Amino acid sequence: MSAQPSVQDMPPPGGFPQTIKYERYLPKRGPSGVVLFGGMIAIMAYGWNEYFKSLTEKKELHREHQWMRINIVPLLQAETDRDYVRRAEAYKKREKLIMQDADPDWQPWDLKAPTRGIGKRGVFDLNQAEPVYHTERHVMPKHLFVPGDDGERLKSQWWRGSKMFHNNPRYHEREDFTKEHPRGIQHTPDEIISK
Amino acid sequence: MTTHREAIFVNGLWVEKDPFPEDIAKPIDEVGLTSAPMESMAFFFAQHCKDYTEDFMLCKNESSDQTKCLKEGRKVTRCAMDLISKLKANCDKQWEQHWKCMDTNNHLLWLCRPQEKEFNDCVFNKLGLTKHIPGVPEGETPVHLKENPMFKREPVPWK
Repeated sequence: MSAQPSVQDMPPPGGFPQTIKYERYLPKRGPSGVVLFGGMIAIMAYGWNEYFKSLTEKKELHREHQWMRINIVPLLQAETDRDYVRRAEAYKKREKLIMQDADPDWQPWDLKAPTRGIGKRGVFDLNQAEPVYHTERHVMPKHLFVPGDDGERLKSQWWRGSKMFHNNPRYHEREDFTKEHPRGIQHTPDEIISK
Repeated sequence: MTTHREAIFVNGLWVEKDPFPEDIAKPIDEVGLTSAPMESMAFFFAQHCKDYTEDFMLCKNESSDQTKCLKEGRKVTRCAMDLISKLKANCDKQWEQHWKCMDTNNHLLWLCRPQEKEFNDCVFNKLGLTKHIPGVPEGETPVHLKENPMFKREPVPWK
């Protein structure tokens, strides 16, 4: 090619005016990396510290709650024992009444009384009578014969319709559930009703 | 898998109506408290009736036979009745405020601290009983005496 002077897009003579910023401008400002990481670590350390403190406090609250319940145990156990003895004696009286014609020596509801039919070494022998348990410790009988259906029975779920949850009734036990509104009073916005 | 399912008796429930047999022991006034008042007075009951409850639990430890520990159980109940009558005579209002607050707040002690403080102060002044939580590590204040606890919330009021 001919040696012509190259045409380049050069700045005007005297340079660009000060208002046109053509150079890179990335000043070093703001907190340094150390400060940023340090700040993050400090905030996280504070958070973790608060969390572990809350765990210890939760443990202490749990301790308090458990001791509250432990302290009540003897009172409730004494009451339950008395109730159990009452019901056990009533049951034994009833069973003895039933068996008095069949076997006057019948020991009601007693797993340690000799039972006719149980023999030594677990054989079935109507001439022998061995108790079911031979141990010294107390064994609770497992089976109970409740009087038949001619006896007075309560409803299984007697608490339905009661005032046990008066502060926050169950969804289907709320008073606004009626025959007219089987799903409760539905609150619709006024603009839909007017259309 | 460990959820609890109540037994459903399809034929209905049957209640034993016979009274306690007289030949074993004479009947005794039962404690008629519901759970919230009982929980309020639990710590004071532990201190007031410590001897009788210890006797009863040691007797229970020996055998699970219910007929063996009836005497100690009666002593425990009588001591509890004595404490209840003392509380009603001296600190009835504060006790009522505390257990009513507990009743609407899932029986959580940490939600009813102001009422508990009033009740504890009244009981200490009138009856001399304090609330003691065993097993708190040394150097730590018990959680009911902490000044700025982390767990706090507005309790649901009694209606």
